[in-house]
Amino acid sequence: MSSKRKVLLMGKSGSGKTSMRSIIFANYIARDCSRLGPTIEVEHAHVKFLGNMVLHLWDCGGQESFMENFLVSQKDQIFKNVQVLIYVFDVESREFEKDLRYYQSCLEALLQNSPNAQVFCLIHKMDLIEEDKREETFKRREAEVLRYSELAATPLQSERQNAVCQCFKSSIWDETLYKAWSAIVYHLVPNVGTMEDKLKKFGAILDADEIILFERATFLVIAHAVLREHKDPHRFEKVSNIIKQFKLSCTKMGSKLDSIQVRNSQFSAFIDSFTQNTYVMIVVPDGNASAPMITMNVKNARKVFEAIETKP
Amino acid sequence: MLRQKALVDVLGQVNTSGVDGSWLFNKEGLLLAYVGTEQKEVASNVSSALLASVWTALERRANDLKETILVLEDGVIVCTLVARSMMLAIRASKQTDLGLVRAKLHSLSAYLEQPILSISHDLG
Repeated sequence: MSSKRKVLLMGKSGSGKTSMRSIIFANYIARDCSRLGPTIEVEHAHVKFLGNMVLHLWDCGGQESFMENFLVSQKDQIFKNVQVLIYVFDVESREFEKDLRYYQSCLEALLQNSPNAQVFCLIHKMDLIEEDKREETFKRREAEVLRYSELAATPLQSERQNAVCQCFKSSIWDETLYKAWSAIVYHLVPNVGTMEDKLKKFGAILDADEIILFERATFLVIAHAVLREHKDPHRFEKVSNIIKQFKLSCTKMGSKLDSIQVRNSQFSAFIDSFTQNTYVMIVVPDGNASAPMITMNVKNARKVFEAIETKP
Repeated sequence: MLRQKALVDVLGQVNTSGVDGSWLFNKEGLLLAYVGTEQKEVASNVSSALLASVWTALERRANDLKETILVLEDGVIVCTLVARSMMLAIRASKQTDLGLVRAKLHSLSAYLEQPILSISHDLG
């Protein structure tokens, strides 16, 4: 399997494709995104992910004239050999119907040219919707997207399941962006299953509540093991978001983040650089857990995980 | 891998007949585990740091230091090296016979030697 993944980023003009790409992969903070101008045609970005995997991001400009081009004259070029399509919808869009039709055409083109691609839809800019209406709006939009996905897939009679895609709500202003991208990335990482198994074992040895593995550059969650349930389902993305911000401020000061320890009377949490491409976070239910002991065990586990990562 | 629970169990086994505390820490003085009665004046991680600094100070003067015995106002603390990189210390009351305390220290360090050696060997 080639370690290069072609990822298409599509959606209507101004829906926030370039913004989210910049935040996740180019260390922008949400505030900086107002400086971004519209994307002309296609911007290519090669992003190293997990060391040996390269994500080849095709950030496709969303203005209608470009869209027509993509779907007609550049159809082969754009939609061939795609591993992932990420389609971004603007939740506030006044012409959602029209967006959906474009989506349907894109999906059809994709199904013809790369039938094995996976499709993810992001309902973006959720922060613009009032908090108590978010869930409802998202549900409604999701239903429509799924309906159009079916429409695109049925005439081809293909067996593929991916056409009926997964939807995520997202916003660059909170952790939902990380949640969506973590879920996408999860599908791209090889050996995730093995990693999670090993993490579980590692967690049992450490008597940990939870162990999370983050990708080093983006701080997206790659794998996690939960040994004791926790009531907050959004904690991973929150941690991703907070630590990444902190890491960026460290970089601004010219220093590199190596490890963080947080403790109170109920728990201790350790974030430590792990393999070449990852950070690990360990949460133990004991406020007096010994840091050198955890560090030592982390060092010992490093080799095992490095071996899994480099496995072809 | 070093299991905190297992380590605590092992360290706790010496805490009988006059012995009331045992530490395992690295040469920098960072505490891995402490089992015993918590002193009011000095926390266990502080005392491990102090013991390590006493050890390094003495080691600078005498090559190949094997063991230190600190006789304090209200007790004794004996301390030795385990697996070249870790330190083991146990505290006993003043009435306890020193021979017994040392015997406990050495049998505990002999017991821990191999496991800890294998862990630090993994670290390379």
